[in-house]
Amino acid sequence: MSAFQIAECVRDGETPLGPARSALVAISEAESGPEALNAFVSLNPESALTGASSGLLAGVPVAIKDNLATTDLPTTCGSKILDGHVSPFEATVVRRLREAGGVIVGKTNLDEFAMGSSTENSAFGPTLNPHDRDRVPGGSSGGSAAAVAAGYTPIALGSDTGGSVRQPASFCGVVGIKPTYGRVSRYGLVAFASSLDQVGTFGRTVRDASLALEVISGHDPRDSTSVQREVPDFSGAGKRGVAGLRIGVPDEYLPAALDPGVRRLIDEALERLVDRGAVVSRVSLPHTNYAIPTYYVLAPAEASSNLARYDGARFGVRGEGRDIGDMYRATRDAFGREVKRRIMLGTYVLSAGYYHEYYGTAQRARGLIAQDFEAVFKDVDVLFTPTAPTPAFNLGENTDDPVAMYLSDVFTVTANLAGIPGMSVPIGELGGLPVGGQFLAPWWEEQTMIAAAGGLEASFAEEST
Amino acid sequence: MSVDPQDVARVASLAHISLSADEAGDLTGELNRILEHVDGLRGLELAELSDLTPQIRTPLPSTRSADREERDRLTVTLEDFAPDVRDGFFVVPPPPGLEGEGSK
Amino acid sequence: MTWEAVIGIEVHAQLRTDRKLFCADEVVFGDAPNTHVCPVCLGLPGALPATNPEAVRLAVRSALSLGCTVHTESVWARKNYFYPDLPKGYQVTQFDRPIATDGTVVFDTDDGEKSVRIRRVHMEEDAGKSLHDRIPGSTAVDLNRAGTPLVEIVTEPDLHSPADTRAFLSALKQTLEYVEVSDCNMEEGSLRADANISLRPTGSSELGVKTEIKNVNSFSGIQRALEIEIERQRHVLDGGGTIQQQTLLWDDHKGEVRPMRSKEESHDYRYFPDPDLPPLRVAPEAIREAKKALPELPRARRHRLQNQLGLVPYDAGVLTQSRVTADYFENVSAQVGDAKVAANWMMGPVQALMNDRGCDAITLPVRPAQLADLIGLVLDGTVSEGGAKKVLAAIAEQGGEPRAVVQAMGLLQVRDEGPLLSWVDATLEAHPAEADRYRGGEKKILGFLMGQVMKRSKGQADPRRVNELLVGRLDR
Repeated sequence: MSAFQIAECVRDGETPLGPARSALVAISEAESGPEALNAFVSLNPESALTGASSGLLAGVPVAIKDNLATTDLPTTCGSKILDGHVSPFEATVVRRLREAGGVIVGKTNLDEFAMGSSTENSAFGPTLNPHDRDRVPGGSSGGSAAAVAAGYTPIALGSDTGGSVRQPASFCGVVGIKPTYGRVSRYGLVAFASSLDQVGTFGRTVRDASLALEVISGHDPRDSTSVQREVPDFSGAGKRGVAGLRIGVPDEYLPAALDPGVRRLIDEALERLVDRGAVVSRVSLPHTNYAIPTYYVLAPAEASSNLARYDGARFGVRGEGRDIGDMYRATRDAFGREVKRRIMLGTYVLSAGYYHEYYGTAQRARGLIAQDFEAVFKDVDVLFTPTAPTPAFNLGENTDDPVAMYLSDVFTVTANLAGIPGMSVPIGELGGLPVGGQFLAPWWEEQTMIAAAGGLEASFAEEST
Repeated sequence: MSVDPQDVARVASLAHISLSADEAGDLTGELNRILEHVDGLRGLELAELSDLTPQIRTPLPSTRSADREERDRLTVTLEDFAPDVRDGFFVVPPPPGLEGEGSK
Repeated sequence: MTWEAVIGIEVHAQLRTDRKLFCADEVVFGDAPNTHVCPVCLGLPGALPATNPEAVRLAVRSALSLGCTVHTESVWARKNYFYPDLPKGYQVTQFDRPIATDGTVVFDTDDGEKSVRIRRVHMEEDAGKSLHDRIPGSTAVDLNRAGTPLVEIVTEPDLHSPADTRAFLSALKQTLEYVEVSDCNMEEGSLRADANISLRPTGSSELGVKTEIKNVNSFSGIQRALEIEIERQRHVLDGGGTIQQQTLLWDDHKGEVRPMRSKEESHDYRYFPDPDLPPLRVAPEAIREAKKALPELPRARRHRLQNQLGLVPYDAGVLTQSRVTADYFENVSAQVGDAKVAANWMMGPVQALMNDRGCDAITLPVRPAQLADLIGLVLDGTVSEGGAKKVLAAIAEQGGEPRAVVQAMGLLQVRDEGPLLSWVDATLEAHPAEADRYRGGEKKILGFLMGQVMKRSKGQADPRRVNELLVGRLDR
């Protein structure tokens, strides 16, 4: 059942905790059996479930990425350094889910501190792709994507710093939305790169993912980067249709080297959209190639500072040391390899003599990338691109090569750099593996991309009936 | 721009990260590969642009609103999440060379 | 060779807000450790800052009182370093785009008026406190202070002597107190000053290698620390040596400066704009209004009291020491109509009373109207000056309307001729020899006779009337 249907049933009188109890039973069974995906880091015991019989998400079971602060379950960020850490406060998005009647069943696995594209960088082991257990679910919100794809929960929350919602949505065959920067409060989202991080949602349908987004959106005085704007009717936007919608396809997102299968699915999806009345044109975002280098300066720089608080002094797991310096180093030795790599990179690019060369340059390059979008959105309403260059790759395939792993974010990081919304929606399969297409919309125009995604989804649904 | 093992050691010390010789060696190579990629940003015409984050296109208030004046309470006590609390203080090992110099 | 000292100052002043800079915890001094903390000032994972508008208002006011240009846009930056009392591993401060720049502070010294340029004023959050002697072998951390709003005021190196430095700091402190932005209490740490000092050959315009003196908690301490450090540098330079750039700590008990043992990490703060906070914007109208709302600053007020009320510089200085004292004085002076008399009362009995009671002009239980009335009663002879001092103390103790208290305490002066003459005549009868000596030209003896009359009246006689009557009788 969809989140929408569950909420309707519960509002009509079904017991609010019924769906979550069933979900917990199914999850516990599946995750302790041979087909376990390792999607969850922790699960709520049945006795701890809370929900409500009213609200947009009345009784809907929800999975939460384990970098969002919860006061009942630990918040580990997939890191040994936060093993067992229970936050003494709750993330704003979690509170909003609860207030809308949602039932939090558990916390999902992720790349440590959301740094990664495969969910292999977790201290609690990798999550597997429900479509092929030899493959990664994508990342860093791989646990949430897998949980929704496996049918454990109809919706889940993730976070997206460079594609960490959209890419796993693509790999797992579900819908994933990253809203406009500032649309959703980051209070209680454990920071990776503050100027890029945004909480996003997963659903098996456009409507469910949009419904979850509608619930968590809106201004929060606790987050100085959250914007005071009215929250539109996201959950209804998917039904608007695409007739007359101007869709741009940026050349830079269809490079010659793109997997031909992915290319074919993109073309087919565009045909479907044209069939439903959309107007498609080719456009150019000339600075796209600078996105990855820009991102890999800014994100590690911010991360190196954001992760300085993990010093063993006030919370989390402390390493032993004679003096404070020893203690810091012993504590921070618990960071995994990728996290250390990014802290080192970020510390380097901010260090004396290099700030202007790296950070200053990258911030300005970021401005160029945003200008590209500003210019192109004068001519089109929404952009359509592949979400990722390939379908899900094999476990262990990219772990030795950071640059190759980073390049898999090439189509998604631009939205984070510019702050625009983006979403991934399934567009077919290649060899049994799902592939997603990405819609990108102008700042605060989530409804437009939801409408486009809804139209595409509807065309597949018609076909299957 | 390339990074040598001294740079890696200096950065590790700033970040308080201990690296084994192997790790330091690997990181030197990896950082160089990444920075080489980053060098692709050279040659961009950037003089006109601001170094301030442009991702927020809506003016944000600079200061908090009145509804942020309510104090956030911790749902549990310090002892519940801190590694070492005594007499209400967080307790940590002493800084090297600063013993006996009183409060900072 | 003769050397000239070149001194620059950095002052941290805690802004007088109820709440912390980036969270809603109360700013309280002296409470049990870690009782005013929340996810934000503890630097817990996921917590985010939100800027206190009152702190910004006070920072703007501080900057304007120092003659600075306030910028409509400034930028929060992170200063990254590890220290146990720095919860996030960085301090939120301002770096290359501070809230205000380019001010001037004019102050008086023994050799005349001098001025110091203010390079910048920026806002930042305070750290917590690390106590290294509280728990043996460990450091105890209290984060109650973490996140308290501060302004850092940085001067150009315009000072050339320890005494001038002290005079400048007093003027700066006085200004910040006048505009009510900070309590400026050095003991509680709400005002802290660091000094940079270098020497150069007299007449040279180049700057020498400087050292920084920290950990000084009084202005006299700064003066002494600078004197000692100047002597040390002079000695090194005269001996042909070179000065090492270093940070020195002042030891108040031993009266010495010593090098801070080098921390293991080198100083590389990796400043960058804080991505959690939008740029700090202050509307031009807000700056204009803040400027209009500034009170008269201490120097201007002192000059006005001299020029307009005719006070001598010393009295004007004492009475403008604090804004509340000056307000009190001006209020009394206007009612009494005689600034000099009001000034003497303020600096004499009122100051003594405030010292005794440990209060200031705000908390003094005697209000200006009461004091003015009382002074009026002295001026018109209703009560003697000595009696009025007793009345003042009584009013401070129990309150009351001055005339009523004078009456109740039996301090009304007797001015009727009848009783006065009877005391005068009785005195002259009792001391005929002294009366003769007066008549013989020994005018000084009058004082003795006056005393005898006053004694006979039990101090109730109005001395001016007694004097008239006594002289009248003797000259008859």
